[in-house]
Amino acid sequence: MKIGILAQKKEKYLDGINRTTIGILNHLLKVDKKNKYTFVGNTDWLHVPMNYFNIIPDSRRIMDLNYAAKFGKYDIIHSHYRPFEFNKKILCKKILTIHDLLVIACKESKFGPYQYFDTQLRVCASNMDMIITVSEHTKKDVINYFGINENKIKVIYNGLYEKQVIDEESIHKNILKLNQTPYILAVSTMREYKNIDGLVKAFCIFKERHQKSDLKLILTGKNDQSTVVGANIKDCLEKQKDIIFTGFVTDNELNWLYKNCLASAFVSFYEGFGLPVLESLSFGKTVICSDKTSLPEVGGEAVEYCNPYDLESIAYAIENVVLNDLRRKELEEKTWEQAAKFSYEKAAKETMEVYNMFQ
Amino acid sequence: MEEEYKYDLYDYICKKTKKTIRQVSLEDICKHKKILVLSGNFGKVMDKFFETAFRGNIEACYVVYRQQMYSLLEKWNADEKIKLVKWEGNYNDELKQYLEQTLNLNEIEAVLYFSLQVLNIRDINILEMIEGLTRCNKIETYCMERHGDEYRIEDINVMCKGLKIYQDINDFLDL
Repeated sequence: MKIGILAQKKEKYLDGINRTTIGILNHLLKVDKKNKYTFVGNTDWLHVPMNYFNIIPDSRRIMDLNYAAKFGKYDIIHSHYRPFEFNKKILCKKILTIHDLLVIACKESKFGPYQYFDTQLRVCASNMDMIITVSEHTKKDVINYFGINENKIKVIYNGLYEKQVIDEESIHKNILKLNQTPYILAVSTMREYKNIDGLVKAFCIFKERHQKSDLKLILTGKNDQSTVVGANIKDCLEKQKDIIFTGFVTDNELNWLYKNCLASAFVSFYEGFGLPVLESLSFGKTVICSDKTSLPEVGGEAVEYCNPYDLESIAYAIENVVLNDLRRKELEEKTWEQAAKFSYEKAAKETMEVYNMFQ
Repeated sequence: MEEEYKYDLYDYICKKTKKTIRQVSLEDICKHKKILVLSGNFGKVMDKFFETAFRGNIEACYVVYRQQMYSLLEKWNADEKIKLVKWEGNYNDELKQYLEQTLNLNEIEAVLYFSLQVLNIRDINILEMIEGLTRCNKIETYCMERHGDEYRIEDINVMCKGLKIYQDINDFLDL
């Protein structure tokens, strides 16, 4: 079969969705010797060795792929993100991967492009021959909110890139210094649903209760004070000097931060999957983890759960992981086994099975 | 009997349209002394432009904006570095007419707009409006992408026609 992979949006720094697409495609090219793959639209910035079919991008609408579907002679067109459509008379199967239904879950996303995207995603989903979701939770969301028949949805979990050897020489000295005291690592953006303000406030509660503790909270990325979250945590940051924003970090630096942390924290209100949890587990580090949405599917029994809406619950989880060495070791022992459940090789094989259903 | 040659017009349209853009630097944009900026909801990218522009020798910077975008421009408007042109309608021919009546377009050297990506069907209306402005005036067109790359549209006429034909073909195949 000839399979078209719809081009992704261009990004300076690849986000989670582009990364998972690269992970799956690279393994698909290895494991699938039968089907032929090309991109629908130029996707040079993904650096996946595949030819492409020329289209002109459209950032707003459902992508109109009439010409590509009709004359590209595709058997299947699969989009890993963007909603698309083409004339129903064209004999080509349509597959869409849905990573999350954030717009439904989070008030902050109900404005601007997200609302538009929700409408388009809903229309597109109803026209698909198959939908892939990255967790059982997202599958349930798609069934409940979009009214899609569950037989049309297949869950294929994300995986992890193969780890590169950490090159300490190329790590910024300010990051290397962090190794001097124990720290909790939080890899997240400042968007409201990520609940960084909840984590920061809970950390402050922990520090008030344990004033001799030299524990630090390290947040990757920039403290963007123009955001709602930035404004919410301003007071905490003024009082608490053990909360540090690293600014942009490279993959190499991120790996170093995971390797050297005491544990990581991910207390999001909503996730479609939760890649940072899996990344942390793959370094043998447990996670102070939200018990909401898809996160228990990724964390399994290897993380310390908390209720992200309850600061006391987050603070208690921090205490359990930081102060109770036995508990932390017990969780750490389970991390490798849990992380091994997810791989791009597995995801690629399962994706190939979905394609082969249409033979 | 097979065709003597195969020529994919669609592919040609895509390639020719892509050839109308050239990546440039922010400094290339900011070398112009009088610029018309069509603002969008791209606060960080607009800040990047203004920071660079005001370090240089810019003489006039006219900024078309909608009320909802004012918060993104407020800090730049504080010492009247920019001249605000409020416009609540769409970025279409009506805006072109309004600008022709309000500004001395002969003075404008360049027009800058913002987009998620420079080649984008979504921008047909704004590009057609700019194309109208550039038809009678010698104005360069630039686009700053959300993720930081800057482009000069070297032939906006071809770009507009390319996008339009591309869309028409796809619409026709939908029938």
